[in-house]
Amino acid sequence: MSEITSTPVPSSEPLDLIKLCLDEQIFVKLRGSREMIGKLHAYDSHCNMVLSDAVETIYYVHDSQSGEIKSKTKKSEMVFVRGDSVILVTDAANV
Amino acid sequence: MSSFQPINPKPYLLSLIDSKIIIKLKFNNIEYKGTLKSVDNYFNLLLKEDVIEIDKNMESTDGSIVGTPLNGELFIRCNNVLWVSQDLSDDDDDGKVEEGKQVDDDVDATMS
Repeated sequence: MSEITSTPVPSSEPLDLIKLCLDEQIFVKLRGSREMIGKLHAYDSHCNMVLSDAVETIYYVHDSQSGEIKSKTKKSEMVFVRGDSVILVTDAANV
Repeated sequence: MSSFQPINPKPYLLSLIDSKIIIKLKFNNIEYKGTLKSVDNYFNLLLKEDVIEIDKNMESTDGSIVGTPLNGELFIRCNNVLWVSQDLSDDDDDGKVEEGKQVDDDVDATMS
């Protein structure tokens, strides 16, 4: 018990970063070699998110011999991203 | 017999706050190095602005490691984490980092 009370309690928790990003452009890395940039409208504790004006970049192997990677983008006006495919979230200004 | 002092996963992670850590993801051989800012009950992780992304598959032939700085705070969702460990390598000379993961095994089991 003593070690629990002696450890510092963090003033903010990880999801607070996402809270601070509400109404801002965010960068989300997703499972399956996908990335998404869009304006964050809402989120929950599972990292389910609603993004507007989202641009999804999908990376794929164009030539399996040379291993050349290409990407294509998909735009959506409004999109729901399911939390279980989220790997990481950061402010889009940093990417 | 010496008294064994258990360190439980949560206190261990809380003790790593404000220190340099390495986070390995479950897939693609990707690691993040940076300073831990906070942790929650799910073990979601928040890293400070100094975080760099290291793709272990892109390791160059001379053994140096290519790291991509992300220049912003980074939220990592709990389910993607394989392990978290203190970064024992010398202070970052950006990109070229020594391997220093003697404590990996201590935390391997904490994330499952």
